[in-house]
Amino acid sequence: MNNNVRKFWRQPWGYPEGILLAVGLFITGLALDFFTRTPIPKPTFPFNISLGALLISILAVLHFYRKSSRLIRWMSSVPAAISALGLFTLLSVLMGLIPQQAAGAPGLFNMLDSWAYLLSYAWLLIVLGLSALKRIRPFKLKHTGYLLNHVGLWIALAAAGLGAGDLSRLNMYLQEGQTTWYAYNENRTRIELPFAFKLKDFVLENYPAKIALISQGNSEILKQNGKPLIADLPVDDSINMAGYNIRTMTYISNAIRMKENHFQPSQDTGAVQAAMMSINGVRYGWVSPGNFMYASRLLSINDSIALAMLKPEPKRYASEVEVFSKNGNRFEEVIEVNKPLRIEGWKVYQTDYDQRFGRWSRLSVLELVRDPWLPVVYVGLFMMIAGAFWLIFQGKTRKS
Amino acid sequence: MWYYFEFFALLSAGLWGLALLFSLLMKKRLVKRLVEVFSIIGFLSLLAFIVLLWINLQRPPMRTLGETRLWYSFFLFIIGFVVYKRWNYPWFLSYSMFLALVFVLLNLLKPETHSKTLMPALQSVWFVPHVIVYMIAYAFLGVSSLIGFKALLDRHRNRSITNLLQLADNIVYIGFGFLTLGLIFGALWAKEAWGHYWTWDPKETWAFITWAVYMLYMHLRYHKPHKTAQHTRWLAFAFLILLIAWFGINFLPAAQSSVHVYS
Repeated sequence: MNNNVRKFWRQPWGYPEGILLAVGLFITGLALDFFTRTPIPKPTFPFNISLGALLISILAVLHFYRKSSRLIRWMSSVPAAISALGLFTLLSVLMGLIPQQAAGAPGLFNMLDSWAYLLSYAWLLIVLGLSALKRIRPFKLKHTGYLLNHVGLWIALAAAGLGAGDLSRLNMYLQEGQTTWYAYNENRTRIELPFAFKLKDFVLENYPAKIALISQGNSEILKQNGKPLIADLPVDDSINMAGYNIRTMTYISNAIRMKENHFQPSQDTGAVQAAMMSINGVRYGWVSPGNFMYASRLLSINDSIALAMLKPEPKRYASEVEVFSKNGNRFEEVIEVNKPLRIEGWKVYQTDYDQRFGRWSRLSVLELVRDPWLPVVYVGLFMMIAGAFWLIFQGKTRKS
Repeated sequence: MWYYFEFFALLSAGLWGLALLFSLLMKKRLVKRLVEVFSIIGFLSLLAFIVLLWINLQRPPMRTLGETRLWYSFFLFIIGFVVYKRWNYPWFLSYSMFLALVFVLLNLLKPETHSKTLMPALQSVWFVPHVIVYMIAYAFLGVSSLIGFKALLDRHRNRSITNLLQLADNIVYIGFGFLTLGLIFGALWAKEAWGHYWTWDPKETWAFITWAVYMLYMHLRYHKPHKTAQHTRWLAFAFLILLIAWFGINFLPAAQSSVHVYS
């Protein structure tokens, strides 16, 4: 036993030292979180550039003394990689199991702001960086795949971390007909922008509403074999639900409700989907999901079951805007989910609208994102894509 | 145009079905050729339909679910065939052909019963590659863990497992390559849809954990290839993590706010 203990920290190091170091970093990090109770600093430009330069210099110096130091050689070995990656993975697992509170005190419940996370990240960058340098100098062609994967990951990780402080995400609230020059950050501080949007129209298209069989008692959707009885509206057709033949007689995508519980096509504000349905060819009646103007309408099948039309799901929503830039340019654009607008270093995303009014919403919520480090991250990611192809085509080249 | 689908689909399905049957029944050289020829003709029939549909619709047929299923079948086959040729894994051709067949049959038997709604965030050119690449990665890694279990069993019976583990390693490397592609495609898509490439959304967190666990395995194997006992267990364990990321995520309390949980 004594013999083992004495050997422990003596070079050459292996797995035990790596594991102990990881545990040490983890405890140190949690202790720092506990005593400081402040989120880790996120350096902004130009300090993050200096920090990145410092990191690369340290790695270069360490690499330079590689031959003379067993410790440095250990830091680019597999046991060190397991130590660094293992710790980072452990923190991710904790993050994946413990519900996170973005604004909470840093620590286990707010991992991304914690010192434990920062120390683990730094350790990973050092080990990964030294491992990459080990294969860059001297360079061999057969190490291409190794380098693409390791250097690519290092660049992506380093740029994502160092650039985090320069990332801005703002929310912008547009009202139809109004021109807006400002947006709000997460602290609700108003920030003026180098451009403005005038919301000409907020457009939203819905899918044809689905139909469901619901309980007359509690209005909940009925289930058959554990599956909810929901179906797409069979436009010009019929379907079988729980033994009932349900046929669409008339479907109106935009309808208003007249007297006598009758629906009629209309483009007026508040127009809602409605359909005249038949059950087994004997019961007829209108169903409609209702909205902020009209109450929903059910078709009774018997005392306990009714046919209902569910609230429609949006198929597409977009803001038709007029853009004004500081230098006097004016042009029209459509900003849509998955189709962000690029302007003056910002990317503008369609995120939300007034849910109560659906397609009649006069409010459109946009998110503005500026991430000057994105191109660097992408360089890393594209190297990793190339590296992935290398892995797929090379497989594991055996050590002879 | 979909009216003619039955003809092309039945041709593809029939030929692939025959190819699958042959590959299961016999292992002779001639049969191998026959399997290849049948599977390729089946594929060409699908290709012909896609081309005709494209011309007919005057837009890329990538919009509806039925159309994306065509592409699933299309790419699954190509990847299956390339990997089979490159690595000489006949099981992988059978596996991907079987999956491709399932998608063709789905289109044939239930063309309209699927829900046609696709929320706006999912309507993207990244949707198909992101999902397909992940499915391929899961297929490879699933097979690698099967080999892991077989190795555990063989070890128990005191048989050598060196060759088995070498096969598993190769499959893990290929699967890991696809896993990396899936992860990065997801990140590139997230940037377009949600404004940032990585937000530690619970699904992302678990996808990262899966990726990291396989990375740990690869490093362990590389360092001390003779420690086979430890590694087989790790291989089986890694797939467990993968399953959490794939299905288990929906049941985790930490994941209830995930943007990947589609109800």
